[in-house]
Amino acid sequence: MFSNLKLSKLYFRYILHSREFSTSKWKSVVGLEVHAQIQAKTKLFSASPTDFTNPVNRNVSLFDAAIPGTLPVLNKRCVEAAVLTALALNCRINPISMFDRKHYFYADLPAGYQITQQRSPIANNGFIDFQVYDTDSHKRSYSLRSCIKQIQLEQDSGKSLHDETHSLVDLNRAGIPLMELVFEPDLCNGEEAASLIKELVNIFRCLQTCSCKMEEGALRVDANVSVHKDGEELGVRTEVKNIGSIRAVAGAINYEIQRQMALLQDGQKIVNETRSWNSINKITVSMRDKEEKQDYRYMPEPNLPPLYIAMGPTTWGCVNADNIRKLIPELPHETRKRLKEECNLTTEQAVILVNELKLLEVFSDVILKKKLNTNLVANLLINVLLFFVNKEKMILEEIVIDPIFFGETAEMLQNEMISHKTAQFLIGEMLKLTPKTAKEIVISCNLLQINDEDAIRKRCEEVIEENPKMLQQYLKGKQKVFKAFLGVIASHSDKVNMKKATALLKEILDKYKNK
Amino acid sequence: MVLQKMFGVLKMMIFILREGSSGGCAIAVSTGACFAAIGSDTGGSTRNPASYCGLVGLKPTYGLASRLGLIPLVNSMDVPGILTRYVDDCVAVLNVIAGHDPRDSTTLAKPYKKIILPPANKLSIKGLKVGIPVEYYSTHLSEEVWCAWQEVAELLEDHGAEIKEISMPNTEYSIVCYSILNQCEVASNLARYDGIEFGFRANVNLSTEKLYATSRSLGFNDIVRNRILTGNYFLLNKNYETYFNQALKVRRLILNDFDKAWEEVQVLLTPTTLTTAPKYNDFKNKTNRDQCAFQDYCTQPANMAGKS
Repeated sequence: MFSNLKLSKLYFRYILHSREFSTSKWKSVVGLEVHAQIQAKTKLFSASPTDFTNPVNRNVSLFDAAIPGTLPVLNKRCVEAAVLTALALNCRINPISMFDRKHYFYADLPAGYQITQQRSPIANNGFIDFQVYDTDSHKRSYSLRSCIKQIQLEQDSGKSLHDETHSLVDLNRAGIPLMELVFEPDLCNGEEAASLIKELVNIFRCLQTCSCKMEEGALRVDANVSVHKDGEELGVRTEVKNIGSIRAVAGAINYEIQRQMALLQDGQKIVNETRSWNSINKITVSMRDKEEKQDYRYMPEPNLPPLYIAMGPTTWGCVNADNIRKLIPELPHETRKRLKEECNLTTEQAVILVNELKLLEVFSDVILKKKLNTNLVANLLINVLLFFVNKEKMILEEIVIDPIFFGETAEMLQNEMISHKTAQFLIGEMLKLTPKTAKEIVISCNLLQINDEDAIRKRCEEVIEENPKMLQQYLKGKQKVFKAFLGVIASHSDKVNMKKATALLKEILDKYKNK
Repeated sequence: MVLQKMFGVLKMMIFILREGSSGGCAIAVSTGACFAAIGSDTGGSTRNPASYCGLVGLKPTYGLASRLGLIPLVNSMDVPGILTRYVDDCVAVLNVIAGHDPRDSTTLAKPYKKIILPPANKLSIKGLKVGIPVEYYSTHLSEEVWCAWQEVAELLEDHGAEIKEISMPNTEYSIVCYSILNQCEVASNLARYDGIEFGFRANVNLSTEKLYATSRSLGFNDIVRNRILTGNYFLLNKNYETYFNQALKVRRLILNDFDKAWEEVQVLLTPTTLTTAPKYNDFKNKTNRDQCAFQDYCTQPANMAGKS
């Protein structure tokens, strides 16, 4: 084991020397395993509710507490959700799948085993396509595909709460339905992994098969990470378990890659172990000091018959995969394509709207009801509304967007009745839940845009006269000053039509030049 | 296991065993303390004590009656067994407990058709094809049981049944196959008795692992500990194919024996136990595994095959 001190020293040394040994010599390999709680009213094998907000140990049936003589009964909704998800992720659905017992001792696992699908899972061989945004290299984006090895249904365990003297067990989570998605190790770094998870979240939300509330543990990511030199065999891997946010996925994996590279560079060996991400200190920490591998002694679950799924000519089964396929809604990549092709949005705009379903809803609603420029609406949502939400540290999921108010604002902006600045002000008012309509505010606060060319020209001339130094600089060829002039004009009044002001200012300054 | 002082032989102080885990049920029914009893039957635990006590003991086909509430031993073989003094009583109980239970996914979905027995004077076994599996002539079969078997066969034949010798060649593998599957499922089912929620908890605070280890080694006796350890050994990743999966294959062969037999005959006539009720002194000198091999030889294959 390495102390944190030693680790940080190593890490530091790596950073110092990183220019001397090219990182391109090193290849990092990342594979993900995702545990997604299935959005269902009751648990996977019992009728207990899954409500997260219930008090401790309230959602516990006799079966969940592993009382001897109780039996599991499979929740059909969970099978449907898993099949729907598997189909949306291009998987092959297995007409027969089985349940296994995975044995290990832990206080929050009352039966001493977890029912899962190890040997023959519900689905295999799928893939997910997603866009990766590399923040380091100037927002360059590329598309990537990660293959899915299998999707299996399984029970969640309970929760242990520890303090210095006691360990307490909450069984509310015991038996909550999970889909485990096992991805092939075909990623290279944290950004790719985070982008994959982001797209997976989009798909889950679109299918409504997982709430993806990572803060509630509804989506947990395990990452297998190893590094090796180009042309050599794969390195020893470590597993970072239970990563609880998308940002942490990128952080934990990148840290782990660099930690491993630093150790190898130093001539040390990587230990095959389970680690956890410490989001406060931004490091991964070894979880168990035992290096021996656990043997889970898998055994077929004798209390559950094989799970049959009807498809094609086979009509017999718990659910029918062909019917479920018809329920797949427009998937995120299809929505992005439609937004780009039919609404002329840029890739970035489409990505942001699909990532934030709330914005997409407003967008679709406003576009449907009013003949508006789609780009203008998207910009108003992304550059004004989303910007405002982030700046004020509001949570997008919690805010209320009034589509009528928003639509009116967009319409007035498009018709040049208000300036961009006024639109920003109106969006702010909307998020503060003003009882007035957008038009009422514009009229009562006298915010109608100044479109009169004479008035704007006058304003421009005044500004130029008031700033002779700037004029001199401009005439000497400093183009930047043009924007500074515009800034002064805007600062005097939020109501000026800046498009017209720009044109008129140019015209006036050109006259000065030609004098 | 039940020790019963036989009323008639009390003076001689000879303990006769009414063996099998549902022995208590058998005593209760045979003494008239109750009309009928439900026991569990994993390898013969209902039929053996019924036989020793002169009762009707029925092991329903696996999946016919719900296992909900039955404390599991070997989930894939356990059934609720019925003990009564008369066949009519047994039918009455079966008609109540049989049928699909949505809370036991292994029960048959097909609706249960209640059994109605015709009056005794209208019962006929004319033309009934009765199979005698030759492999059940075990070397351990006592003369008394062998005679009774012969007698019943002749009785049936006299009343018009066709008696036919058949072969069920995999019978002898049943016990060894059972001992693997039993130990694996026992190891799994007893995992919940870890001293945290269920079972004895040792007074150890060093670590959770230490608590588990101490509680379980103190809380289980030799026989149970032995089964748990061997069961877990069979289930180890490296051993799964060799033991557990191989046992499943043998189990399939035993089932095939039954399916083949049904092509030729309608019922099988076999002893329930190899001997009459053993005396305590003879019994206690045998190891647990021998006891099992001895007691369940004739009953056990039906559990393996899921038959009644």
